[in-house]
Amino acid sequence: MFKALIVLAILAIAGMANAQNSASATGTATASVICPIKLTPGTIAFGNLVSGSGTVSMDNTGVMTYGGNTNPGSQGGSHSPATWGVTGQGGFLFNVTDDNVRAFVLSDGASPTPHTISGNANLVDNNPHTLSNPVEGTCNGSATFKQGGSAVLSGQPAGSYSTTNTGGSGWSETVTYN
Amino acid sequence: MKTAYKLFLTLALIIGSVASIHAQNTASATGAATSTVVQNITLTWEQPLAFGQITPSGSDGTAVMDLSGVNVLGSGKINKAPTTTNCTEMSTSQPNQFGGNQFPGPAVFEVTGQLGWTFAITLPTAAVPCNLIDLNPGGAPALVVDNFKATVGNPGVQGTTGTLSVGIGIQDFAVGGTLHVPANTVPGRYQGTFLVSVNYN
Repeated sequence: MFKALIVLAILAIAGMANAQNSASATGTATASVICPIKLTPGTIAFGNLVSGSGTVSMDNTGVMTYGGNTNPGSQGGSHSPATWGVTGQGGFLFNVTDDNVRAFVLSDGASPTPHTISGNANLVDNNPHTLSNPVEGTCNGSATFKQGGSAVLSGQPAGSYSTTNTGGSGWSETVTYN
Repeated sequence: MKTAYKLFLTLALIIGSVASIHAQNTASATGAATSTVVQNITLTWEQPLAFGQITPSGSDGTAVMDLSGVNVLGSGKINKAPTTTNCTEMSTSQPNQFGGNQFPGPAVFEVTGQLGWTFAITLPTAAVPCNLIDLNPGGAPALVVDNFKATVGNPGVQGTTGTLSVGIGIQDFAVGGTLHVPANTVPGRYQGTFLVSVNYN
């Protein structure tokens, strides 16, 4: 009988222990899903250059400097820096990064051997940049940044040159939320 | 086995989720560049500036080569009669040229470049010496030529700008000037060079 009481007591204690060893509650989780950042490429338009030798430079505001005998005078045509477009979460900051070289090749696409002009885009500074329209829940944040560059002429013949012609190549820029 | 399957699914979801977040957090694009390269501009001498044969007098005088090629006698009683003082072969150094033209006439240059483009002519602004080159070279003071003028096209329009409107991008222009001949100048052949340049304007 005594043994039976002890067993019951142990079971009771065990039961009590089990009740204290477990608890439940409801957790919560939150998340803000932000808009993806997107980048639209720009185009550096050097305008008219005279066939010759020299380095042609455009700063990030579009001001041209002509080296050697490449100066077209007042007949430089339409020239402008690349204007890159960024969209994403309004009010967010982003950085622009690129490789160290930012090299491009302008080509006239001539066959069989295109004539090419080598160049480099300028560094984009002023990081971080800010997307406009800081309205929560909208994806209409936008920003632009401008980028000039330089090209080295060495007697290439007259023609229309582009990085998109055969033999040409552009450079890469990357934007990242920071 | 069931537990392992669940674990695998969970891990796959986590990895996929991380990859997705990364892709939306950054974006890249390739920039482009364009340019139009036009014909370079060239300048070719075709004919020297020649004042022909003139005779000095006992007083200072001038001879003006006007832009139509007429040698206009200025003050000082300089005559076109043969021969003695003959300042010919006034020429340019762009390119450098010397001619044997004994007949009076303006210098003539040809410009080539981008069809339809305009250019500017730069003429000497200072007097250019015209030295004695025969009989007794250096044995007489130099004559000088100044007041250079240009006309572009045919018929010429006086000025220092032109348009490459002929053919595939050609235009001619003439250059005249004023020769100063002091009194009793030593007879002989006088020669000099002057620089003319053109550039797109």
